[in-house]
Amino acid sequence: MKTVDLTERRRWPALIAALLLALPVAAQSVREPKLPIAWNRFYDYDGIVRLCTQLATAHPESCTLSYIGPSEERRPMPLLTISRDVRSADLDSRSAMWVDGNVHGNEVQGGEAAVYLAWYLLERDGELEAITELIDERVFYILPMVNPDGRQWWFEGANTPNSSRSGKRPTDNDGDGEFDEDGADDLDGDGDIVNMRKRVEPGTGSYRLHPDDSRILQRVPQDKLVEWGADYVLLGQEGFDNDGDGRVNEDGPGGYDMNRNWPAGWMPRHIQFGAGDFPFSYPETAAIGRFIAAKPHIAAVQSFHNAGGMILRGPGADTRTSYFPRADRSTYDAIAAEGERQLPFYRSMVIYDDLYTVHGGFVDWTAETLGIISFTNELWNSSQLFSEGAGGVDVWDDDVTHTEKQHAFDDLVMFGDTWVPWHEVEHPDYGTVEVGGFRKMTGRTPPHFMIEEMLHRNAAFCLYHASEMPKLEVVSVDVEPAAGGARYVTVEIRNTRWIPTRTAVAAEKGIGPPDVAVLAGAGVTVVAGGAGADRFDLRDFDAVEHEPARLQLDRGIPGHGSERLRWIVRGQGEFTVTLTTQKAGTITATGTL
Amino acid sequence: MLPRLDFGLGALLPATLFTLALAALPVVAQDDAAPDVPDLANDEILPALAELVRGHPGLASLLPLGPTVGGHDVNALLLTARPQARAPMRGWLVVGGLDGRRPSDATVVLRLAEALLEDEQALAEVLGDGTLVLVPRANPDGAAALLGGNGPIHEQVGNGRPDDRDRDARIDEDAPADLDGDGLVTWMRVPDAAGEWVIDEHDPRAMRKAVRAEGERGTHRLLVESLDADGDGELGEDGRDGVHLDRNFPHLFEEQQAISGAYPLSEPESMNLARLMLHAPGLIGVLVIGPQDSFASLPKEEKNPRRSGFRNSFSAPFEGMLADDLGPLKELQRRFTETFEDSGDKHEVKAEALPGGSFVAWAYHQGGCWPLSVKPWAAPEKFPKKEKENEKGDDAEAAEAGATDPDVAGDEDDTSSASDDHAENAAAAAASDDEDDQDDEDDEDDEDGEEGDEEGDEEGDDEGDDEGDDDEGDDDEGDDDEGDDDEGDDDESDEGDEGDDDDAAADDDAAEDEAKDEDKPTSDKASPVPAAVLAWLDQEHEGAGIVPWAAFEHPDLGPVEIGGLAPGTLFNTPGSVAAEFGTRLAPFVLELLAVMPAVTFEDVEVEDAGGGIFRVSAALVNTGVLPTHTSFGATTGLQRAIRVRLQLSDGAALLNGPTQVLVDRLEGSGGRREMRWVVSATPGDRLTLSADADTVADVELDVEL
Repeated sequence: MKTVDLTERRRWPALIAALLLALPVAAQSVREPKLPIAWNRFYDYDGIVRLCTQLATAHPESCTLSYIGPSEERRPMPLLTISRDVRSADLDSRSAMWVDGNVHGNEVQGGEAAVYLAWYLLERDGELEAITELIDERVFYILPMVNPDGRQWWFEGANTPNSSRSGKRPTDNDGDGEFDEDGADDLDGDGDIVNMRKRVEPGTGSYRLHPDDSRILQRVPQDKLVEWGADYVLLGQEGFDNDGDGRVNEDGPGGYDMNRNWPAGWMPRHIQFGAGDFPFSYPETAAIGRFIAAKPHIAAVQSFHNAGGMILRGPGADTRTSYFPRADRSTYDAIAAEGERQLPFYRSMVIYDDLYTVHGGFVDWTAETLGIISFTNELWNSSQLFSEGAGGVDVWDDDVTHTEKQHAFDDLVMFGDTWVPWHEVEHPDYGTVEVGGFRKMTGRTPPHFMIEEMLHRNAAFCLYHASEMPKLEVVSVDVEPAAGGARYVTVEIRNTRWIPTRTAVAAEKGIGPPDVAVLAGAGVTVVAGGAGADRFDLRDFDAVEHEPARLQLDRGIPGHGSERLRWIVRGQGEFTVTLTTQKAGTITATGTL
Repeated sequence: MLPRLDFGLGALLPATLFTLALAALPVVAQDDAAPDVPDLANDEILPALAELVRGHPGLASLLPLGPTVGGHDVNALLLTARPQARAPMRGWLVVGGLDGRRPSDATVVLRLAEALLEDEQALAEVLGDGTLVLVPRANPDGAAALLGGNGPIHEQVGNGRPDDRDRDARIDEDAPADLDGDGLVTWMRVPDAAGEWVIDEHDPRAMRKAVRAEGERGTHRLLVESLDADGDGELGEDGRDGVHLDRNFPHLFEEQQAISGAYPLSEPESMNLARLMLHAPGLIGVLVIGPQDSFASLPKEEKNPRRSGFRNSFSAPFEGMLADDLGPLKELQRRFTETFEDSGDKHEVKAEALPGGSFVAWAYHQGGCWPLSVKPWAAPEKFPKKEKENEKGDDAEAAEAGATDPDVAGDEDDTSSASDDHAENAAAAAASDDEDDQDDEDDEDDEDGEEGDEEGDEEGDDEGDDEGDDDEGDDDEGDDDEGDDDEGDDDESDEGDEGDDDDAAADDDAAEDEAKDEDKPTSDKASPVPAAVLAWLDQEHEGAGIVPWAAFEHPDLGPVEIGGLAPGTLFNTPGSVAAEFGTRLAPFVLELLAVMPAVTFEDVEVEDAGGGIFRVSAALVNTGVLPTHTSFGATTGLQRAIRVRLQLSDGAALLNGPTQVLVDRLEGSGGRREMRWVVSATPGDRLTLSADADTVADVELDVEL
């Protein structure tokens, strides 16, 4: 496969095209994986820890495994660090990317996506130039399980596709002073929580069986209840009134949302459901907060969720638009646009505007409080089941419902694997009821044979994002005579990637330090200095009033842009210009007077 | 509502331990006749608390809250008559010294504790099974700066956490400094036609803003005593203030402000207070000793809070209080005024507006608690009256003076006569009725102006946001504006206005109005060296606290004068005032305990309907004065509802009626909820009614059928 130089932005379309063309070849190639891992399945907590351990063991020079946390239920949270000579002390001088997944316990594929990214990086290091360069120059901090307790409970407990979103700190959701006392109950003990329905006297229910498919209930219009003989009622998800308060399943395990627990526009739980008592009030979020706050060289963030096929950026609320200045929006748009090409069925969206309002979300915090370009991907779009709208033959009439398509897929492709047929069980409060429905591994997660494609395409988006972290180069160092025996020193430094060394939000909100350029030399005296130097007119630069040798660049070096710094100096000998940035390390230029 | 008490309540230390360990340690000064009461050093707080514990082992114990950023310990005194101090705490929390510039808050709290414990019997009675937690000094690191434990004596509002206040990639590199070696960080006045300050023509020690609108040009810059240590042209712009704990709480937390902290509850001191509240949901209210005062000015009513569909709660945070909660607050205000006046002068201070991120606002808006605050003293904004003038019997004048200085208001002669000789520059001699009238108007204007401004700001913000949403092009403009605002704030603090939360524009107006008649002395309350405070120090404190201006050759600025006021003078309650205030606060705190809600079952009736069927009815009634919950706490679920349950003995069965009722709120003084059940039972069977909650004690009632 042809390797592509990632330094050239315009070559990306070519790279993507190459990847798309080459993928089937790669997948069918005879290349023996260094570390074979089955990517057509999901792994529970222990399984993910095992994969992380295998990766760190197999690649000790470029991958370390550490643990943060532990979680509420005391599970250590594995964190992979990947970079060349990963144990060297200067990791902080390389731009870093944070990748995590599975903050919502049921959104499991975020965990596999994070591990896949690590695996692919390490697997193809030394084989593919683009990958090798990323490991050479960047650092990846990869946390597959933000919410290991919710993940594990989703696997081992009886759940639905949507339950076990929360962590496992016992929480009083119904205000009765009891904690987690009335969750769903697996009435038939089959490991799935599905729906309960009950047959009643015709005309007294609100549903009837679908005339063509008795697995499906049809809601009957109010004025047709008697005429159509509505003879079914829906009784919610499997469960009964455990605490005798007259309500069913109203206070299950946990009952909060760790993606609302971050200190950016954080709102208390009466305004934002699930927010917790205060930002970082859960051990998982607190551990991540401590880790990320101590790594200011993180310049890119990716968080994996499910589902819907989205590449999401902030703001999370309409009150926070000022945190996304025009310059940053351009950066987001540039990266997300490539993402939409890498990820068919995914759309680039703004959280508050295109999805819903989120106060105190994780990427709100990293983008707004820390000034990091941050995305949340919602992995998997159920339109992918039949490749709807993607050039295939449209086999569906307009009035076919989502449920009907789900049944068709289960029948035609999964052979009944994902459906629990309605069957009778005895209910302590309702008498004989029927339970049935789709199992938890449907809807929000792809079928097993589509997992690997999801993982790879999302990893590709991460790798592109990582490659667009700032990368600096010295364009020129010029010394030219000035009147009176002084000299002009002009240094131009370029950023060859999309993400600036300091985002516009960081500059405008005063997040983190500015970049600082210092001219120093043993025999050199700095008379004046400033940025914004004109290419032709040596006298034209924004001279600072104080400390001319030390220039603060509040807006850093822009994406795919450069900064021309100029000093008036006296003396002679060698000089060094050192630009120190938080996000892109330090770069030096030298010259002689 | 957290399930486990993993907070350090288990660390409640038995009183006996301290009796043994600390028997020899000094006691708080008790001599009220002393001319002043020195502020307690940080290492004197624990011994003072331990002494109280030792003296009152049946009621008092120590509650350590944890270490600070600077390594000090914050400790609380726990007062309860219950044998098990670790049982759920139900009562009030009193907190002093969140602001580092207010070390004498600790004197207020300790004198309060002493006064409460003076009559153990009375305290135990009113406590019942309730609890009072007293935190004398929440920010010892900040206090240390004023108490000399942390370099030269300087004002440090926060906890000293290192930060890059001026965002220049250097941390705490240019702190205010003691240049003249007098041990104090005061002020520098620098002759500079570009400055905006002038020397007060009536008192050359005082500085006031030039009234530019009237053609007056400034003659001086006024800067905190400092160098340009980092050579960036700014002086003393990146010091060791750290995080202001009373800006670090989550309600309306101001992000991206270094003084607020990196995120809400980023500081151990604020976090430990929050944890205490969250783990003890029975603490129904807080009383903060600080610069705010809920009695001097009741919080505003929130007339139209934005509701959300979710549980009929709210969709956005707001500043004011719900109308239903202002009623009880007014009653507490009435009781405060009554108890305070019983022991002397009225309490009249001008308090600061509630800032974003404050503890007291958080306690209400995210804890559902009663948010009380009281400011023991405010630096005088008006000139003190000379004794002979007061004797003229000018009531209006006396009342006016009382508004700023309680000592002068009622028994004016007692406290003010001794220092008359020193009132050399107290230009109050020239005061007249006219000026008083004018001052009154000024005050009203100020208040109106402030409220108007706040509302205006809010509306402006909303509009700005909306516009930004609708039109992307407008975003950047809004951003720029915000950036400008931030810079403006920084400039202001550089000029020494920090801590003065009054609206700057209103202050300027007042200064301008007052300056109209050049023959009359005025005092610029925005000044760090205001004429009225100098006059008051002359008269009341023999000039103590005034640092005479002295020439100094500044390495960056050339000839300047250093002087003004000793650090803390404008913020810290004078020791004797603090001590007296603490003592006088005790009757009110007893009232707080006495008015707590309590529930009981009343009107329990069992009617035999025949055939083994009984109709049972009962009412749950609040016998306390305060409601069982704040309206806000009930609406939001921040305070757990009272759970009423009916249990039947074996063989009996419930035929109708609820097995569980959640009562979210009962009004005070007889608020009730009636309940009915129909039960099948045999005569002699028993049923049990129980009610459990956080904000009131559990009750249980057995009924025989």
